[in-house]
Amino acid sequence: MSQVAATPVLGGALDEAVGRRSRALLYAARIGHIEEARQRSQDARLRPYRAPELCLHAIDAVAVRMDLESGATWEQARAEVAAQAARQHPAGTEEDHRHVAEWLLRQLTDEHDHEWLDTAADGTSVRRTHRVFLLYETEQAGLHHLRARDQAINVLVDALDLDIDSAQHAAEARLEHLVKRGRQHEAYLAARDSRMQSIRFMEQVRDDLREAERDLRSEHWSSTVSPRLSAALDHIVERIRAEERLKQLIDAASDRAEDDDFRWIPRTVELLDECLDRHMSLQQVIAEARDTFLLEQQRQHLQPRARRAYAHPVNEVLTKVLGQQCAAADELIALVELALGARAPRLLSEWAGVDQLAIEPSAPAETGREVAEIELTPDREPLLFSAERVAAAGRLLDTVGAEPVPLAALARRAADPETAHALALLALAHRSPELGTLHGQGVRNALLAVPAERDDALTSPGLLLQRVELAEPAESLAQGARIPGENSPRESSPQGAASPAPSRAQDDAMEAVA
Amino acid sequence: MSSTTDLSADAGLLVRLSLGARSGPLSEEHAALVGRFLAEPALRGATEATIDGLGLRLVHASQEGGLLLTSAGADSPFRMRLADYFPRQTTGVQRRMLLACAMVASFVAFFPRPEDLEDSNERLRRRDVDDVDRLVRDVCARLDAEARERGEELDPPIDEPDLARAWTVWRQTSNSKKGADGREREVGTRQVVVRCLDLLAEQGLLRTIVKGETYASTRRMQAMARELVGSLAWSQVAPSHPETPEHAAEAATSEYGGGNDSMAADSEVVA
Repeated sequence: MSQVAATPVLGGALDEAVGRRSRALLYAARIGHIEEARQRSQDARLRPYRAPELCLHAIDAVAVRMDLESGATWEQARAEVAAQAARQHPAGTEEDHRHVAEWLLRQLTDEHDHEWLDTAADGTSVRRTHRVFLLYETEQAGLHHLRARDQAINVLVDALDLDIDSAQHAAEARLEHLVKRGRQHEAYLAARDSRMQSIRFMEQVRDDLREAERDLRSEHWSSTVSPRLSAALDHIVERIRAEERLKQLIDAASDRAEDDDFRWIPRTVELLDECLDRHMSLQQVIAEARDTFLLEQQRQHLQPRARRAYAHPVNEVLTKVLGQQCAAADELIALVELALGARAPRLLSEWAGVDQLAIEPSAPAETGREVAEIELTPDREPLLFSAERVAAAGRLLDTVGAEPVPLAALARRAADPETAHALALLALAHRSPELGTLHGQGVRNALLAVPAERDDALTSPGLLLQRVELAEPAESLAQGARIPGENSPRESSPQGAASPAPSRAQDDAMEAVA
Repeated sequence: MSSTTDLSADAGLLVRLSLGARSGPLSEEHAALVGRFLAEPALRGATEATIDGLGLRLVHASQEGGLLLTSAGADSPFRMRLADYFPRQTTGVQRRMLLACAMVASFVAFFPRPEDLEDSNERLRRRDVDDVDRLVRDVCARLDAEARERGEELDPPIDEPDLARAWTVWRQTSNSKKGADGREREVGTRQVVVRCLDLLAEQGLLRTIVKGETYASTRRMQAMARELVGSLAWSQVAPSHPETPEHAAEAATSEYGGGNDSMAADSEVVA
């Protein structure tokens, strides 16, 4: 056994192709991640749907509507996905379908960094991150639309890593082979792949054209960008020829086709026509663009444009702004105002005026809020006596002078028992044991210490001293002093009672004595 | 062929149309003028002179987007004044800072990476209001963690609201939709962000997808974001976080020293 196949070096399989394929796989994996995100989501409305199929439908819907200038709008794509969602979950409402479609488009346009293993020039492996997103929204000539990325379309056509030129060749060869063998259904499927490849190719040409436009002013335009466009043009011419040949082939094949095949043949032809149209218009665009660019370049003087390196918006700029002290606010606002664009000056734009009118007066901050009028409702039991009876009892008490009067005698003069009852209670309020005792012991003038309004150095509150005279006690009558008011001492009956004001003075006196 | 007068009239018309332009296809007349602007040096010169004379500045010019203009300086009559749109949000220094941060964040959230700012990158984004707020809060949390690690004093003296760091102000402001009484909050970060985004939409820099919820960026905004990021990156505003403790000490002493000086001056005036 001398013939030994070259033994693969251990680990030698890790070459560049594996790296490229693993990068291509990231795009397919992204669809799996979206499905995982759906399963993890707290949103119950996403539950009945399956994300992978919807993703593929979404990419397909966007890709087939793409041309150089425009593509599917967000709303169109959403409607398309929602229709597929309705198919998955017929019981769901229209709104649910739209909800899942919107969510899905947001996922597909979101970008994620993924790691992959690249092979460096010296054979060692390098971990790199690759930014993965499948669809993106863009604006061209003021119109907003979605575009599918080249790699996303690749996922659709199940090609891991093929360069577009070869992929188109391969798709056509496959189609030709299948048509020749009369396998019309499979030919139709191959034609679909062919169409997707033509869309991918268009996307590539579009990138080249934009690159050409940007680099127009660079001196290397004719040496670097232009050849790429020429190559694209050659490729297109080749495609157009191949597509026309394929159509003839299908025509020939349809002569000996069976009934079943006629379900597929017209569709295949339709797809081929679409590719043909696309390639022909691309050919025209590139040819025109080259002429325009060359003319432009001759006219404009060369002005190498410096590529600016931008600061990282989040890590540098936003972080810097948030790290500043509030004192920098005005300076920042001035910079922001410049980035808001211009506004045609007006005296007072109408809505600014409305806004000013709508502002509440700022007074509360200065002067405090106005105190609302408080209405209190009584929170106690209804009174035992009516107001008139209390007043009548008060009047009876007022009649008491220096002469001692027994309460019982006074009560007899009351109009009714309730008034008498009220009178007794009022009279009791004037009972004063301490003064009564003093009076009973024959004291005829007592020293009162009345609290003053403010403190003094000695006591708190300060005390006013005052000597008051007490009347002679009436014989055989119970004690009970009548105390004069603070400023106008006067005699009072032992058991009488007087108006409320003196009674308050009496209370004060009691405290003082205590 | 066109006389000077015609040229001036065309230049004026182009400026007028550009001022009124919003995201969306240009009108036929407008597109024709932009095409001439790009191709005819004479009209270009006249238009640039007009722009300059009016106190405007040309930010970006392209066949598709037309001319993107902004005011040239603080005294330009075309200046957008945030105070006109946020009368209440500009009363205190901390509120002004909140507003400035919300505005910067509104731009940055749609163009979060350097490559997003490049003219060749035509990718646009959709963002929810909460995405913007979350972005700021993430950065705030990071700054907070870093500051704590350095053992910085975070609370400014109570009588010096100027010294409060922007991130602490943002963190202290609620982002909930509703206040405790169930009414829309007025000064929550979320509300400030919504109003910033609405203003940007009104200026034609954003597209409103769902008002108060979702917005999408435009190419016009990309050009403006480029401007803003550039000017902020180069602005001479005090360094955000000092690299070394020595720097921190220096910065702190100079700030406090300044404060004391001004206070001393005040007391002299009073005396």
